[in-house]
Amino acid sequence: MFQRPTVINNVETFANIPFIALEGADAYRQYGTAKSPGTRVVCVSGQVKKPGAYEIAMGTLLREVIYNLAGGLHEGRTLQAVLIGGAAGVFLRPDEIDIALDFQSLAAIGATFGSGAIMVMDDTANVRGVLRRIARFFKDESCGKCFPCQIGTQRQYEIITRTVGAFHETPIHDLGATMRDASLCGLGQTASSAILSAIDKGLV
Amino acid sequence: MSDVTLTIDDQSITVPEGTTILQAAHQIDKEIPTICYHPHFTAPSLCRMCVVEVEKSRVLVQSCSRACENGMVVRTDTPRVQQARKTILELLNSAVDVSDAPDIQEYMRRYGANAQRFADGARRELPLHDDNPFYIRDYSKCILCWRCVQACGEDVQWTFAIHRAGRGFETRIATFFEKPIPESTCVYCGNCVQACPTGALKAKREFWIESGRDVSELVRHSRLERRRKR
Repeated sequence: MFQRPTVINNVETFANIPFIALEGADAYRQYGTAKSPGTRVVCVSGQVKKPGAYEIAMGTLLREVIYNLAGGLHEGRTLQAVLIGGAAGVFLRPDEIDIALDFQSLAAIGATFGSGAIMVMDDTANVRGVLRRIARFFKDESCGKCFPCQIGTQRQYEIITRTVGAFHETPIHDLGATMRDASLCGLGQTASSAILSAIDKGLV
Repeated sequence: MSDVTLTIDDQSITVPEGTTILQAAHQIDKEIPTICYHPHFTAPSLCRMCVVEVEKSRVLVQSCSRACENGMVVRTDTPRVQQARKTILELLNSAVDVSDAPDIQEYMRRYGANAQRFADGARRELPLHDDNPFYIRDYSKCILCWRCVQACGEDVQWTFAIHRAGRGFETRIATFFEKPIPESTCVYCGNCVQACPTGALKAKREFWIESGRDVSELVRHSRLERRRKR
């Protein structure tokens, strides 16, 4: 802009503006639900036939995104879990994928759109390995300022890496709740979200 | 400036706009624990010990820097707050040697922190820096409260000899390019040593007395050093 380097944040919001300016708010509102109007770009990755970015109307079912748009799972595989919202998102069980993808429906089950990332894992996926990668990501990305995240993300990574069996005897829930409640910024506040959801839903 | 009225632990209080929750709580004799906070420094809001529950807030709120608002409903000692404080203390104790920090020891007793929890994790064990005649730096005792950085920088001395280096769990306080203190911009004002709550920064004389060494040696030692330099 003005012949200068320009940061566009957030690209998706900016991309929506020309359509609304040209066609009007009503035309935009005919997509999506009453409370979550318009479209959203979701990025489907993982073990599906056609991973990629798809623009969906708000309120589209997650099942439809996975099985119609992204082509469903590979032959002979069954669904194990879906991570929605990215590393700071939450895991969904196979029986939870009939959820409508709009802000209100997702909030009602404690999930968020987040970055719009949808990661699909079939029965061959190693969810524990995914948790280890998520924990490592947060440990590496913590800036080290506030105490709960600075030490907490390190401890979370250690617990995830070390624990072989069930997690109920580890302090991971207290740790996660403290990071969520007391961290300085959104990184620490969501560093335990995906990990605790996977543990609580019995996926590991 | 106008006044704002809020509720702290069911007690109504009116304070001037801009007053922090911590300051307001002090006015009605509510004690909120703090570690990194120093009344003369900008609140860095890092230790998160002073968090309180504010109605309608998704997460806990740091009382040291959050200004009071009209109609705010604050609770300073709920189970959620206590849980966070206890876990923060356990995390600190698991990473750093806090044996020289009386305030933290007292908080650990008060909040029932388990010193063995997280005990099998990585610790920040760093070599002791004894590189100048006035003070030692033992970063194995450093909790990264930033008080020394603030004292050295914009809150007191404007010298900027030290700052944070690294990130995440590997964060530490360091001089630029990790040079010894005499090669830094340090003017030996001693403000950082005064501000340190955990004994990570300590006057050399104090350090020698504590480790049972003969302090007269220290004086001779520094005289010799001075003569050698001439």
